[in-house]
Amino acid sequence: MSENEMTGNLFLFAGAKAADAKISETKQAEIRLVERICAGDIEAFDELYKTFAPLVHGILLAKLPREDVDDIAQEVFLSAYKNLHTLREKGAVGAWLVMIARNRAAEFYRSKKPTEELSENLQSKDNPQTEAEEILTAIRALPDAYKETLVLRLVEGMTGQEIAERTNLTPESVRVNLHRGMKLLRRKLGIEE
Amino acid sequence: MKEDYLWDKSGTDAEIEKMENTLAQFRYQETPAPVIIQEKVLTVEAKPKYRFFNFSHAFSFASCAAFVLILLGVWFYNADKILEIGNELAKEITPEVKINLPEKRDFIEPDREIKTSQPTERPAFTKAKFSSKKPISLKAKPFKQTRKKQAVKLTEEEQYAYDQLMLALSITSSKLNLVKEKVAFLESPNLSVKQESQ
Repeated sequence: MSENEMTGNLFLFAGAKAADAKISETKQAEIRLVERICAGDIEAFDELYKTFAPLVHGILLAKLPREDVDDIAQEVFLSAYKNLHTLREKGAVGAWLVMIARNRAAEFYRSKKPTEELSENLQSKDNPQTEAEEILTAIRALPDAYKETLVLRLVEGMTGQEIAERTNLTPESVRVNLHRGMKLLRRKLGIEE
Repeated sequence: MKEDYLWDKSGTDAEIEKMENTLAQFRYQETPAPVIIQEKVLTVEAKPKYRFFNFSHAFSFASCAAFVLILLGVWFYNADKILEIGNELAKEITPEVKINLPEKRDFIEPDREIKTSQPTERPAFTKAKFSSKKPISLKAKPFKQTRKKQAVKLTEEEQYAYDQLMLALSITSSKLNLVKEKVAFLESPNLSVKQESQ
């Protein structure tokens, strides 16, 4: 092993350590936040909402019609507030919210058959809204693991590391989901690599 | 590098950037957090369900039964001792009363005459006058003695027993008379006045 490779490995190791320290910090902050909410602090709940609203929005957007996403996101947070005392691992509040959002989306489809009205601008390919909807529809057609990660990355603008932190997934699995999902999306959209 | 941009937005990737810009319209727009209404929960104590078999009642019943059994056991075990103690107490409480009863033979009075009732003869019917024309036969019917009024012939032993019984009755009645007089004397108001004056 050359000196350059060894130096590179050392830097990588140092970077991983720093990332781990950052994760533990965010976990500690989440735990404190949850404890404050359990103690009846409404401001802490607002803070939690601001932190995790994009995550819940992204998860719901990957599954539900756009017009229902905001309402159901509010329901998810209300449900979370009522049942927060039942959360055992307080550092995994993000994953817990994702689970509630998934359950709510499933309930939505159980109670109501989804109907999509045809847009007036459906025919015009040049309209950016149509293109956006087309991409979103293609993402929604992907498997759950890929579509949720891709929406969080492409729509909500979160980095891979942020997605891993919020959803309690390992960075490796998020990376894999992103790349495989992107590959499938390109194929669906007919984009050549 | 393409991979870096997809992972941490480092570097450039025109295709992904374009997608991001296109999809940005669906991005989360900041909205206020849902309003939390703190609910006050009223707790109402539910009435306890009626149970045929109540453990507390059963336990109290069992404890009472055990207590009674223990008492009975102690009583039977120490019955002799308790009776002795009771007798001693009775002796201490009650004063000794000596009654000098005469011997059996002292009451016998051989010279005493005992009068027994003898059946008397019924007087003869007398003639009566009636206004009715019909003659009435006034022939007296022969007197029939009833079995009750027949003279009792006692044997010697019976006679002796009868005498003894009568003697006992007379003694008893005399004693009773004495007691009666004594009670009357004690209950008389003059005596109480005298006692007060003394």
